[in-house]
This record gives sequence, C-alpha cells and structure tokens, in this order.
Amino acid sequence: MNRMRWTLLVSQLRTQKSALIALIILGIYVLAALAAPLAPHDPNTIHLDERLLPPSGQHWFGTDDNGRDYFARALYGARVSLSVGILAMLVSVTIGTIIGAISGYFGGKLDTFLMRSIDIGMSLPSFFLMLILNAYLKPGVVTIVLIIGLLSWMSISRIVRAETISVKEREYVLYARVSGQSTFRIIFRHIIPSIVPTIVVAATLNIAGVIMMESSLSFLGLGISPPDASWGSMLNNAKGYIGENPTLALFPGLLILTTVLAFNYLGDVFRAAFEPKVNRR
Amino acid sequence: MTELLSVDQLRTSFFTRDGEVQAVRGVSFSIKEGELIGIVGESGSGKSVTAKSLLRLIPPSGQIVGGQSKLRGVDLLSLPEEKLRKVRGHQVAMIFQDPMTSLNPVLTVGAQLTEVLRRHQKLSRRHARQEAIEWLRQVGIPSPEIRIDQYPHEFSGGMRQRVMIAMALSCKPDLLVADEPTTALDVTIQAQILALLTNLCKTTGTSVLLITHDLGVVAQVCSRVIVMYGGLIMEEGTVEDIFSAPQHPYTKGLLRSIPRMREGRRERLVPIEGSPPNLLNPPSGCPFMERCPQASSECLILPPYVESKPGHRSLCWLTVARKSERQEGLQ
Amino acid sequence: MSDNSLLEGRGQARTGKTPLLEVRRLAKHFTIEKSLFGRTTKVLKAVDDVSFHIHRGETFGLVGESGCGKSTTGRSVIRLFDITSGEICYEGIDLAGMNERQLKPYRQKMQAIFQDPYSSLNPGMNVMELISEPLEIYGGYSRSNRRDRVIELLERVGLKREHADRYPHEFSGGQRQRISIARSIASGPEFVLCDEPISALDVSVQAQVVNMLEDLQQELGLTYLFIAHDLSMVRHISNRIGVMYMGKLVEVSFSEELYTHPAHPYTEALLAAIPIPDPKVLMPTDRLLQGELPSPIDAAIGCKFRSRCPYASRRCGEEEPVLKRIAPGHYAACHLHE
Repeated sequence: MNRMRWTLLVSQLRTQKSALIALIILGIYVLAALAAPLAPHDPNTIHLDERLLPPSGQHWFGTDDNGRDYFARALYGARVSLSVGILAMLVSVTIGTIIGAISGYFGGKLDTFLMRSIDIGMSLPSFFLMLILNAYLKPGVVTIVLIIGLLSWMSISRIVRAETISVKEREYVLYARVSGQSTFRIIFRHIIPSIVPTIVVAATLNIAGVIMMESSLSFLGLGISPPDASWGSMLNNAKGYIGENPTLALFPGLLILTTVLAFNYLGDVFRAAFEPKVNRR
Repeated sequence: MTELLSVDQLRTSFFTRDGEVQAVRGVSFSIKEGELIGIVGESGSGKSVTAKSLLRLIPPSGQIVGGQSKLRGVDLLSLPEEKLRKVRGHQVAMIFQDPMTSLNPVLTVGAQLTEVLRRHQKLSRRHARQEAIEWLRQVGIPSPEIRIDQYPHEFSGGMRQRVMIAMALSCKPDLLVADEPTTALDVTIQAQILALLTNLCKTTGTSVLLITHDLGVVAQVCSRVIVMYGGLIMEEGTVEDIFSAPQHPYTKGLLRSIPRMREGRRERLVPIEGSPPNLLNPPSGCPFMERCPQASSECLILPPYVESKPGHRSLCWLTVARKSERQEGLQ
Repeated sequence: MSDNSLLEGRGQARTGKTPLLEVRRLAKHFTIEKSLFGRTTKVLKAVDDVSFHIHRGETFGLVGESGCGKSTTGRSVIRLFDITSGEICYEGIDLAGMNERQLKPYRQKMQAIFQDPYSSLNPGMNVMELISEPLEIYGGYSRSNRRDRVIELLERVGLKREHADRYPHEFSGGQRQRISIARSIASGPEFVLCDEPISALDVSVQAQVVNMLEDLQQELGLTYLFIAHDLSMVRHISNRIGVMYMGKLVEVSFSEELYTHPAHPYTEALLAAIPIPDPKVLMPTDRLLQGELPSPIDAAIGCKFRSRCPYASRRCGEEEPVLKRIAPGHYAACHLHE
C-alpha cells in the first residue's frame, strides 16, 4: 500500500485528539484482556457468601449473583468479546473481499449472479438465522465466530466490488493485463492492495457491528456457554438483579458502549484520512 | 490605451506540511484597457496561481504574502471581502478550465444566467430572461429559447464553456481572467471558443488575461505574452517579439521543443532536459539555471529585468550582457 | 543519432512486405441500455468497421477528437477486451478469438504505454518491482540478473540506478512516463501501443519523451501505434496517420501527404483548428468547424460527418461513404472523391 497514505493517517491521528483517545481506550482493553490471568481473583470461583457486593477496594466492580469477582469476569469477558469481534471480522472481511473483488473484476453474468445472491442473503433476517443456526450447532467461541462471520460479509463485498470496478479501469491494472499477468496475480497484487484503505474502514466498522451481534446473542443466552462470560452474557445475567445491584448491568454495558463507539470513531477517522480528495500528486 | 490593472511584486505561497511552497515569487505586470494578454508556462510555473491571486481566489492553504494588484488604482489585495465581492463578476470576471464545476448542476442554465443579469443590471425577470436568451445566441448556442431551460449536464463541454463566457461577459466586466479555458476541449471546439472569446472581447472592449500552457493559443489570440517559470516572469513582450526574437533561454527552449515541419524534412525535437524546480526550496538565483544550456556561475544571483527593446523585457544575465555591449557599441 | 539515419530507418520500414499488424473490419460495440430481460436495446458503436495495417518498424498515428474511438481501437488491437467483430492479425495470425492463455505469447510481443503517468504505475510498488514485473513473467531471469536488467533499462530511459528503490509519487510526470517506457520494453516487445503517452506532460517534457520513443524505435526495431489528439506531435512521430471520426476511419495517408493535402473535409477542419505557434500565420477562421459532435448512440444513415460538413450533399444523407484509394497510399471515405 501507498506509504503516503500511512503518513497521512498517522498525521490525522495526531491532529485528531479524540481519535487518539479511541485508540488508547481500545489499547487498554486489549492489554487488559491479554493480562486477564493477572487478575487478583478467579472469574469462576463461586463465593455464595459474597453475593451482589457493591464495588469496593477488594472487588473493583463488585461481585455477581454467585459471588464471583465481577472485575475478573469483565477481563475474561473482554477476551471473548474482543476475540470474537476480531475473528468474526477477519472471516467476513476475507470472504467479503474475495467475493467482492471477483464479482467486480469479472463482471458480467458472474457479477449479476453473485450480487443477486447477496441481495437475497441481505434480505433474510440475519439475526433470526443466527438464532436458528445457534440452536442446532454446538455453542462456543468457534461456532459464534463462524456464524457471525458467515452472515456479515455481504455488505463488505458490496463495497469491495464497487471499489474494484473503479480500480480495474486504472491504467496500471490495464497494463498488468497487457503484460499477460494472471488474473489471480492482478487481483491480489494490484487490485486488493489498492483498496486496502476501503477494506480497513469497512473492517473497523464491521468489528463494532460484530461485537454488538455477539453481545446480543449472548444477552439472549445463545452465545458463550456458562460459566465462561462475555460482556453480552454478563449483561444477560445482570438483568435479573437490576433492582438489587444496578452496577452489574452498568459495567458490561459501558464496556460494550465504549468499545463500539471507539471502533466506529476510528472507522470514521480512517475514512477521512483515506479520502481521495487529499492531493495525491 | 490607459492602464487597467497593474500588479506589483505579487507573492503567493502555499503552506503545506512540508513547508512553504512559493508558487508566485514577485510578479509585476500591467494590463491596458482592451488588451489581450497571455501568461504561458508549464505546470507549477505559477501562472494559474497568479491569476487566482488577482481576485483572491486561492484555496485556504494558500496565502498572498505580498504585493499589490491595482484595478484602476484600487488595490484588490487589501480590499475588504465585501467590496471585493462587488468587483468580482462586476468589474472582473473569471472563467475556468472545467465549466462543469463553475455551473450549479441543480439550476437551469437560464436561472443562473438571469440571476447574474438581475444582480448586476437590476433588470426585471422578463427582461432578464430575454437578455439571457440574447446572450446565449451571441455565444453561439443554437435554439437558445429551448436551451435556456435546460440543465448544465444537458450541455456538452464546449457548450458549457460558451455558457460560462456568456455569464462572465453579461455583466460587462472590464477584465476577463480566463484560466486555461480550452484545455479540456477538443481542438475543433477550442478553435470555436477562442474565436468567440476574442471577437466578443474585441467588440465589448473587455481586456483579457488568458492563462495557458499552449504556445499556439497565445500566438493566435494574444497581443502580448508573459512567460512564467518557477514562480517568476522570465520574459515579457509582444507576441511578435517573443516568437520571432525570444531573449530568454527558457523561451527559446520552449519554442524549440514544439514540433515544426518544413517541407518534407523531419527535424529532431530539441527538448529542455531536466524537470522544473522544486518551489519548496526555490533556488535563490535563476530558477531555470539547472536546465539552462547557457548557465554560468553568474546565474546563482537573480538578474534584474532588462529591456532588449521597449516593452520587451527578460530576466537573464545574457540580456544584461547584450544590453551593456550594445551601449558600449553606441558610445 | 543524426536526422539522416532516422530518415533511412523510416524509408526501409515503408518497403517492408507483409504488415506486422493487420486490422480488418474491426468493430467494438458497448451496450448502453438493457431491457428487463437482458436484451440489448441501446448500443454505442465505439469502433465501427475499421481496417488498417501497420508495417514492421513503422509508426502509425491515430488521431481524432475525444470519443472518436481511437483509444478503443488501440485497446482492441492489444486485446484488452473482446471485440464485437473483425480480425486482428499479428504476423498473419488472428488474435480476435483467442482467450487469455492463447494470447500469452503475444502479450510479450505487444506492449503498451498509457496516458496518465499518475495512474499507470501502481502507487504501492517501487520502481524495481514495477519494471521487473514483466521480467518475472517472461524473462527467465534470476533475481540478481533481474536487478541488473532493471538498472540497465532505467539507465536506458535516462533514469539513475538509485531510482530503483523509490516509489512512483517521488517522480515527476515525465520521469514516470520514462518508467512506463522502461517497463514496456522490458519483455523485449516488437509492437508498442502508445495510448496518448504525452498528452498529460508539459511541453518541454513532451519532446524528451518523443525523442526517447524515436531512439528506442531505431535501436530495438519497434513498431508503434501512436494515439494522440495533439496533431502536430502525431505528425512529427508518425509515418502514416489514420483520422477517426465517430468510430469510423475517415482518412489514411502518409503524414506529410495528410497534412499538405487533406482529402476528407473533417481532416481539413481538424488541421485548420490547430493553433499555430506563430503569430504571423493566423488561423484560417473561415474553415473552422461549426457545431458539435452529434450523439454517437443514434445510428444515422449516411455519412456521420454530414451534420458539420460544409460540402454535404443529398447523397451524403443517403449513402455512407467507404474508404477509397484516392492516391497511392492515400485513402479517404468521402463522396467528394469519386
């Protein structure tokens, strides 16, 4: 990819303080998730005598209905939520990019077929599909990653297709064809690298959506199987105790909110940085 | 002829992340009433920035750092924005390379033209419409009664440029600044537009400042030429002087690099080697020095402008030397 | 290299017997509109029944205004897309029906230089990668040999060894076009399509590029199809020139003949419209073309130029003129020359 674009991006991040804040928040969350085993308490040990404690020096986020340390659970929950978000995003970006690039590059009947299929796929209520699939498959991180990934690549492939169609007319792609390069090489060496900025923007926004989906599924009790937690399942668990200990809902809710906001915000900054209006000459 | 516009030591810079790009580095010239004057130069020579600076129409990253541009004695560069807006379009009009971006795509051509007429001539709606149709006819648009109610996208590139000319001239400006008005057009259309532009301006007595990279266009249209390079005027004179007796090595090189055919003989082109200077760190001496076949150590210092004959000046030590030789010869 | 040797080279080219490239009745139509069931309802005939040939070592110029089909013709010749009908014979072998695999040996022999020096080089690749790409496909060079070959090519086009590791945005327009040229000659081609290679460059730089193309032609015996709208440059570089108008070839001739004795009224008007860089030679304003291009989509019967032609007669509206020989090597499609 073009080096100039990266320098542009870095300068954009530097000048936009709020983008930096988003990046810092996400950095802290990722580090915290990685460092989860260092938490002072075990996330799954039940202490029935310490149920529903408010936040304190001992238990930073308090304890849940089974007396488990809520902070430790939030850390381990971050592992699940963030890794599901990133993995499902990778699945959907990979599929979406390949299908979109193929569809845009070849055009014609193949393009029509793929795009109509995507139209049909997008008109199905995907959340409903997820619920059904989830009911039949063994619940777990892998299942949820695949289900979300396989159902959310369509919008990415549409964006990639549109970009491919414009890039394919650029003269360096024409030249690659003139010089007899294979189609595979043209797509992977010339077209996809040129649309990386678009893919990055789409991917960032996609992570936000995926995290939301995972949270929703887990909230409905269909995601991660207990006793493991994700932010969504913690929220689900908290709904029974809203009256007694509202902080149980507050912490996972805030974590989801800030993560999704940060990713959305970053996506916008990337988009602004990659905007073609900046003088490319 | 009296002087209409006089530009004195105009300097315009663009402030980028990498530093100050000195696009125009002290440009002085004047335009007389009814005169057609051309500025030629390659990309990055500062010709277009000069034209835009006259009306303070440069993008926000650019800044006019010095100089004056006096229209009938009023300095446009220090005029408050409010008053300048009255000058623009009223006394000085401008047309650009791409007429599509200067026309509003959601308004009909007629609406845009009548708006200009009503604002400048305080005409009634009916009257303005008649006047607009008349203008469209004048700029050679067929069946103007129908075309007036169409949108810009229904016009071809040449037709849009005609509309722009109609809009620019309808408020009877003293000066028309035309920034590469035919660069985006095909040759046959270019010829039509140039003929139209010169005829209209000659009949209305409007002065024209034509910015172009095409020496052929200048030779055909203008009476006086300014040759720019590296943000400076390299040479200025009448078209006859510039084309038959160029003084500056850059002008000479430019003229040599365009193909000329004599009967049956194919001449090898003589290009100017190298590429234009970087205006981020412009050389303190002659900007053409690096590419000049006749450069010497003298050129590290910028020469003064010297007239080789009245009205024909150039910025080169060779002209200085020739002039002093001639003076010695006289003595 | 002296002017004389240049002229001799061209003389030899003219006497060559079988043409390197022969285009017969080439047509390329684009679908503008389709009905609900995929039936084509509106067609743009970008290139319509065009025939010409190019001899080995020759430069054939193709001129015309934007939208006349000159670029489409050029891109059809190197098979950048499937053509609607016609033949493209390279050394007698028809490329028109070939698929990409069959075309591969010809891709090495037929190269191209495009117009926009800013978009013709992939911004993410450095000069080394850009120029060695065709070598990877054909050359059979080892990695270190490839580097040597790239540097040799760079020096051949007037760039320096140290430029090899830089990226396209670090170069000026003229330098980028040199990189494009180095890349296009890397695979050792015989034929190069020059698709407006100088239109985006400054005047002083255009001459550098044109001289380089001429030198390379001499040295490597290249054959050019040179497409441009700058008529004086085309006249300078071409041996023969074809003039296109709305998808049709209206006149073909030797360049000097074409410029001194244009036979088709469109050629005449086109030449009259060139602004001459000499204030003493004024443009013949009386011969300026009136009106604009008619819509290329509405297929009219008769001569396509008749709406703008000062000599149009009734016959021009009824019968489409075809290319006819009016002098040795000089063809025009106009009823005036019967």
